Amino acid sequence: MEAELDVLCVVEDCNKKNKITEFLNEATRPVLDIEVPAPYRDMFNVLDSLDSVEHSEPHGENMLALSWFLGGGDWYTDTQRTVKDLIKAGATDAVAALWLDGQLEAIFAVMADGEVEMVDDIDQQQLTKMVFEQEDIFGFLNTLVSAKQI
Amino acid sequence: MHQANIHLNQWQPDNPQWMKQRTEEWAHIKANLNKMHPRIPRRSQRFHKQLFFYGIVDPILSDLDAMMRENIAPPFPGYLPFFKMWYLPQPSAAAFKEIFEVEERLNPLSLSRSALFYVFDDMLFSSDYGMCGGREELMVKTFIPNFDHQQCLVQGRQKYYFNLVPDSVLKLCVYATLQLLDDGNINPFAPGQYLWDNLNDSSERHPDLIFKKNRDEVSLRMCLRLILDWDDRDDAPKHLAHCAKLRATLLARFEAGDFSPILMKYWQQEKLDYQEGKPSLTY
Repeated sequence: MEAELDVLCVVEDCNKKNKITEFLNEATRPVLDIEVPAPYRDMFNVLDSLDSVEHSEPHGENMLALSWFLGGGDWYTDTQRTVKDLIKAGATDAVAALWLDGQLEAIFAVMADGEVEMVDDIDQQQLTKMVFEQEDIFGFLNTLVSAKQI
Repeated sequence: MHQANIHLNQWQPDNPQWMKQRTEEWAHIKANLNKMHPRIPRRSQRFHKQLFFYGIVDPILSDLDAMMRENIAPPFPGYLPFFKMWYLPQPSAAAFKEIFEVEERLNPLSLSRSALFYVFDDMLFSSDYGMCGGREELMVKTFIPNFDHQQCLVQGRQKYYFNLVPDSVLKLCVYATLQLLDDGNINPFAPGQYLWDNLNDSSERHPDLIFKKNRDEVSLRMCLRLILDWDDRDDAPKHLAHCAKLRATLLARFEAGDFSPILMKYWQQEKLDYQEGKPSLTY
């Protein structure tokens, strides 16, 4: 069974957004923290725990859309840790979609207490329908993030 | 927890040229650690960097402690000595022996053989770097200090799975050699290929234990045939120097009668069948 993870995170600071992108892409991420300017060293050390993204792109003005191939492992824990690390690295909010063998498995969001939890008050059938109607998981995640911010 | 690294003088983090070379090797290591996922969590890679680039052991120990606190089993027995040997900048038999002896006082290291032979499939590491960048032969010789499995048994738990009993020596040795001589599409430093002397010893001391199943004899005969018909086969991996060298070495040793009577008996049988044009045995 294969898992993929899509995360939409809010990063207000443009420099931070660029650094997160740099530190998560295989082609650009430094190997050691000594290569990183001091102000971004903590951010690098947090993101160094994460695997390189398969894909990343800006989403709207202040968001980043990130996708990982997770392979085997404990996907639920990996998802929670990934979102938490993005928050530690400077994102102010994030929502994640976990896919198993191409099927949407769960949506995760950052709760008011800072914990990352599975969103279980969304009807799964309705969720799947909404995702397909959006035809873009990040568009759908955007509606969740926006709803939280209102 | 603190455990000093005993070879700290080998690390030169202040030397830019040395760091450049280490960074180049790290790319291979990272690729292999990714192949070892999920047994080795990706999150552990940053702790591995501390050992690889700076010779600092503590982060890996803390990581193992954290796994235990979270009730996650350690990735495999002998995790620390395995990586200490892999990441040692100047590998040598003496340095590996020193690591072995220090670790042996803390943990039964016969279990560490699992990482070399059982945990990770040779097929995963078919790049030129192999699994541990060519350190595999020294690691095999370190983790198996005696040819006789009875002497190795007392160094660890009496747990057969991780101990190299005679028939498992045969399986591991013949499997790796078969793959290397057939298409070469495995770790060029596949640890099993370094077990021919162990196999030879087992066949002399424990001939009754070595061939438990007919399949084991067939495997050995198939392996011997690949040595014999190497020049005839268009698909033999002659372009791979390490495969050609292994074949040449084994051919020379068998032709010189450098193996036990029981192995030489199989060689003579297979050679006769080959010369008479009989097909190779199959399972």
